[in-house]
Amino acid sequence: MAENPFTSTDWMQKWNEAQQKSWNAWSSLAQKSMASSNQAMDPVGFWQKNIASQWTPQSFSQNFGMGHTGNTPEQTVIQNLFTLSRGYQNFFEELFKWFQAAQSGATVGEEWMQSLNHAMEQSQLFFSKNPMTNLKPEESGQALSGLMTLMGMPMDTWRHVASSTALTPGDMLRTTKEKDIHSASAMWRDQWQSHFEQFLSVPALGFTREVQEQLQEGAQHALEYEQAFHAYGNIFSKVVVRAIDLIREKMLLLSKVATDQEEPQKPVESMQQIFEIWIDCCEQAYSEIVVTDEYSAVSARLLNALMRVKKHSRLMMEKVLNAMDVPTRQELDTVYERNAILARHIRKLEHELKSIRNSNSLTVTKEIQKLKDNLEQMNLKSLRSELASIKQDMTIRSDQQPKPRPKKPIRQPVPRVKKGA
Amino acid sequence: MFPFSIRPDTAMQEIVQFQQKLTNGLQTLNNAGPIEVGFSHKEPIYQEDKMVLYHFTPLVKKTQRVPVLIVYALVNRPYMADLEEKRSMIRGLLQAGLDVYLIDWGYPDGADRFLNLDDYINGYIRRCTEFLCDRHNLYRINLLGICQGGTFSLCFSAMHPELVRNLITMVTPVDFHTPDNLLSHWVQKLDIDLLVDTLGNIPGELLNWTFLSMKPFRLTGQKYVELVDILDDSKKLKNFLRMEKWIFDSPDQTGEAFRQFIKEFYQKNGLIQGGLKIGGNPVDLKQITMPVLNVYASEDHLVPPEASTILGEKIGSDDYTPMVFKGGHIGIYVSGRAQKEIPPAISTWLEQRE
Repeated sequence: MAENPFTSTDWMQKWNEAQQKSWNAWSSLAQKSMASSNQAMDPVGFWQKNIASQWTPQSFSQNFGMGHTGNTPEQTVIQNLFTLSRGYQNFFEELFKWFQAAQSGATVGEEWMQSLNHAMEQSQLFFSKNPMTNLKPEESGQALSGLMTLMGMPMDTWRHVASSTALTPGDMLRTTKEKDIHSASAMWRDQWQSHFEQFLSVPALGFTREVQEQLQEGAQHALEYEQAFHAYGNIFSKVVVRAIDLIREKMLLLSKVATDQEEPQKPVESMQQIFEIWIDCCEQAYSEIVVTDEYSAVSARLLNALMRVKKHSRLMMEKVLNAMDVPTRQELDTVYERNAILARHIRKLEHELKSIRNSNSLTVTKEIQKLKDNLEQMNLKSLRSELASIKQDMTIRSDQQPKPRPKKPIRQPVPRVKKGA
Repeated sequence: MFPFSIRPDTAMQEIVQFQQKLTNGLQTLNNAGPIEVGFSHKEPIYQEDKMVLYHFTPLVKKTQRVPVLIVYALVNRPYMADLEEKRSMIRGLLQAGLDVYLIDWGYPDGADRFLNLDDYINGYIRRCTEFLCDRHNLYRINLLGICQGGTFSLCFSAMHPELVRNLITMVTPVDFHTPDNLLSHWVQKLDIDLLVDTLGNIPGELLNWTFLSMKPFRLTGQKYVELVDILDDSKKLKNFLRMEKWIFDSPDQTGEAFRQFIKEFYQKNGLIQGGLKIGGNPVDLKQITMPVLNVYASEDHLVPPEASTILGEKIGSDDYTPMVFKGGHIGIYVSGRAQKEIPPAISTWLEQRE
């Protein structure tokens, strides 16, 4: 068995060496393939033969000397890194299929767009089916986590949330494979659901009738949750379908702009640009749907249904714990509530006591300062308003008063000069 | 004309480069070290239950006479306003000459399940305010509320206007029923009583899922693909990791406070519709008569601008100043431009009203 890099001190060096080998291998494959092929490139075939087939968890682990797959923390890190990269590549694998379909039928004009449209419609048809009900288990995994997302969001994130509210500790669905979930779900739907629904309508009888009723109630809550989950999956199928529509419109727009000589547009030249366009389309499709009343109702129904299941499970568990003489959550809640009420009473009494104690010079000083400030503000306000009104009066009066007549200059009497003086 | 010009060999080259960056980045990640947050020095000066009141060490010789108490939201940790040296709103306020205090709500647990809005607003906030009044020999102080903390500050100021000299609200929702409020749209049909009765305290993970669900493809996909481009830059990587820590460091919400907040604000829109009571005390925005500065972000997807700007026509104060920041809900605290605009504006506004 190969040495485990995470248990050796120089695992980073080995990691880098293994990566270097991997790049060199891929580069030489690409060079050979380009050199030997005399026909037009088959991007999808090239991808599937040389890249996708190599990029599996098993080959990844072997390249890094892990030796085996398992559920160790190291494997979790590797798996997450692999998923990040693999999800990115899944997206482009799907795109290359579209391009291949577009290029296979025509080379010029609008014909390639028709071929591309057809390929996209096939994808839409695939993704429009509810991944929980209308697809085979191996297909539904792709619908949920392949083209749509990088790490299986949003259904994967919802599973983590649901796990966190479960009675069992930890993320109980972490190690469960998606196809296993869908297999179990498919078997339930096809073989057991109708029988179970009939069973639930049977009235409870006998000494344990209360327990029977509670079990029936719990099962009904579980059924409701499953139906709510299916409805939630339906909504996300719509998001994918709409996102594909948007990317088709975007491609059409780019195509038109590229042929319009008045507005030349540089074609998309990198995978990252396409990825960003795809993300924009997904977000736009998502934002169109999550503002609808339908989404609000479906998401609320899902959360409410999960809460009913959890609440009922807890009640059933508490009955068992009570029988075992173990303190329960309900008892603790009662203690906490009484404690909170008591704390409020104490705070209130402390506040009243403080008010009584502080009826001294410090409080009086503060009150005086407060009154001074208020008086100052009042005086200022009244002075300002008085000044404003005086100014206004003066302005009005000066406008109304007639212009004074210019005064005649006062003539000084001329002294009379006596004759002969 | 085909709009894409990508050859398989160039595509493969791009993937190989992606893998190379990812692998090289592991070395940087391995050497990243602990993620430290909360840059400015502070000391605890008052504590009640899990709530701690901190005083930040001033950075000027003489601060403004009236201190400012920052009331943060319950849904995230307050160190976002002090994320790192060059992206710290609190440091900006300190440099602008303010004497800054902050309430840290802590991490509630099961024993705090029955804390309600009355306990938070008329309890913790009021006692912190009174403590600071005694400490500074004042009868009222300045209040700065952030997001949900701003809503709390509005309620507090409406119920106890005699304790608040000036009020500043930042990205604060007032009207919870604006058409573009996605969170409000989602919770209208939610059975909050069932949720709280079942879970008790609301897990932080549930809130994280809700916030991520607002823009899932960018926040869980594109963000991490773009991360690969900065993996070789240890400084940028650390900044990313600090933000990442803050985003997912969500405390649980105490059950009763969560129940009241969602029902009274998100579902009934109590501040606008009226009839809101906290601890039996009516909350009427017209009782807010002190000067108010309302800072909001023009591209806020969590608190749309219209949810905040309505404040001006609802309060009773004749000294109301709106201030718009061109950015988002988080950018208003961590962007470089925000550091240059927001703290000086707040300081100047307060200085004019000291």
